[in-house]
Amino acid sequence: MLLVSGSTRERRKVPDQTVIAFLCPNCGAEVDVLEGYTNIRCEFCSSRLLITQRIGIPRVFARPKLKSPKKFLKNRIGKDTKIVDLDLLFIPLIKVNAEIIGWIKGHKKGKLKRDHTQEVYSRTQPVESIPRIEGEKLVKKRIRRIQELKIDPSEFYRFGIERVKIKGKKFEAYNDNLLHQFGNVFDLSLSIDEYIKKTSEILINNITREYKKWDEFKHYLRVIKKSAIIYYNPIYFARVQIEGTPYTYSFDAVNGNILLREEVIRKEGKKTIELNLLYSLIGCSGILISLVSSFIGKMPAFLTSLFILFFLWWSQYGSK
Amino acid sequence: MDLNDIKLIPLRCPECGEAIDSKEEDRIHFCSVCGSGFQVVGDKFKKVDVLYAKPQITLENKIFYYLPMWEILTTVSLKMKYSVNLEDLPEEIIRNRKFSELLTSLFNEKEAKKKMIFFVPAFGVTNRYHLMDQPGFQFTVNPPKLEKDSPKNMVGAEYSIEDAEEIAKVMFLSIRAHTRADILDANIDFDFHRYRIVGIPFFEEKGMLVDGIKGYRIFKDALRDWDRLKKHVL
Repeated sequence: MLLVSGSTRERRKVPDQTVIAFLCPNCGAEVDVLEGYTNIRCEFCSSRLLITQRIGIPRVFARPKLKSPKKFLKNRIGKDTKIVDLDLLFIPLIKVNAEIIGWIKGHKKGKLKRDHTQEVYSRTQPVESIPRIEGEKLVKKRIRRIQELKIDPSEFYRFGIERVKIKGKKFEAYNDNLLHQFGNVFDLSLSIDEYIKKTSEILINNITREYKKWDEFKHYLRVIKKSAIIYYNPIYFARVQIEGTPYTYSFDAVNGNILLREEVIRKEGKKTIELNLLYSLIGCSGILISLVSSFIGKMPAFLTSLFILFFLWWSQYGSK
Repeated sequence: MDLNDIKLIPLRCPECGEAIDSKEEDRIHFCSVCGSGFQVVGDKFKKVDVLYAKPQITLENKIFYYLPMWEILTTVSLKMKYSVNLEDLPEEIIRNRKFSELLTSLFNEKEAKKKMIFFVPAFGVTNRYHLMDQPGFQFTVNPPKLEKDSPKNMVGAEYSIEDAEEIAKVMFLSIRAHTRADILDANIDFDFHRYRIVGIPFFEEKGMLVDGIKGYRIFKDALRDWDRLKKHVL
């Protein structure tokens, strides 16, 4: 569920909250909704407005703001940079808020402590170290916690989405046509229900792992008041060459934050085999020529063989 | 526009068309004119039965604030037998003979089935809620006789019926936690039959909120954002 604040004053108070911009159906004024709300009052016409979505969970997107991304990138990483290609991608980020309620039960392990002093006739006297276990007990505990979690559906790709900040940005209701006019949209690999289920498991695990050292630990935890939003963040993904070395870059298309910088490591599988074969042939011929030259005693052939051996060494190690 | 798209629509009562006021996080909305309540599912309004309870404590010059609570008629069934005697029950449960008998027969009979009415706060609570009387728990142990009152201003229903069911299950474990150490082990089935929202009147007294039915108390900060909620209710 989303929600709104509507008031400029409120927005100033909480400048880092995510804002979703709508138009009031009553008066046409822009209404800013804060994350987590289900309804809002329009500050211009005072009508109370309800946020609805037909199916699934709300999806919103941020418009890219960098007008000249190529120029921006060159300014950031060097004017001599050669940009091979540059694509705009909308990467989804699922944010879930929920409350976890229930009970836990377990045997809390005690801590080994040693007494070095002892009270004798109201006086503290040093004694020989006496070990004892303190704090061991059976615990039944009620749990009620509110948690927030971000899920990155593109986790198997390296876009640097984990560094994207959604707070403080302005989002709009998802519009598929508009997004495809700007660039490409990264699809979710699972259904929303599966993501929500996964999220519930993570939220419960976040709590239970705090008690992993307890003996006979049991729990009954439930996730309630779940609300989720999918934020589509625009990200530029670029392949560049800096002084002949290829790099991939990704940066936020709203605020220009660099999210990822990676040197491209060439996969040389097949090529390596071919080169090794070539080097072996050259090496063998070098050895053969040295044998022949030593047999015949001709200096030029000997020098040639030395040159070939040097070339072989240089091609394997010298270039690195 | 895509099917998934979100939009803003005026919040009006689907029954009488009157404008509705709600708190920003609310999931159930109430019409103060015709008294009907509804939950929004996607872009559909799902009607919820509402009863505004008449205060049974008469006080002069007191303002009553109506806070929503889910009332859920449930059949609880246990497959295994647990030996729980009356003396095992804590004082706050044993005070109510009917409920303590219900509990002991539920635990002591094999494949027992008993009907219970859960009262679950639909308003957002903090951990401070458990430090005082917990009206939801007390009403579950000793269900009050409610009289119908005229529609009132009511906001703050943050928990949907699905959430209320889970809260009811946890509440039952809380009752068990008072009686037995082996909570969480029992195989309990909950069959939820009927739901409605009950508007419980509360009044302010000495920094606390007291319910106008039985006089149970909660801290003001046991409610999530009481000051904002109060502005809507007034």
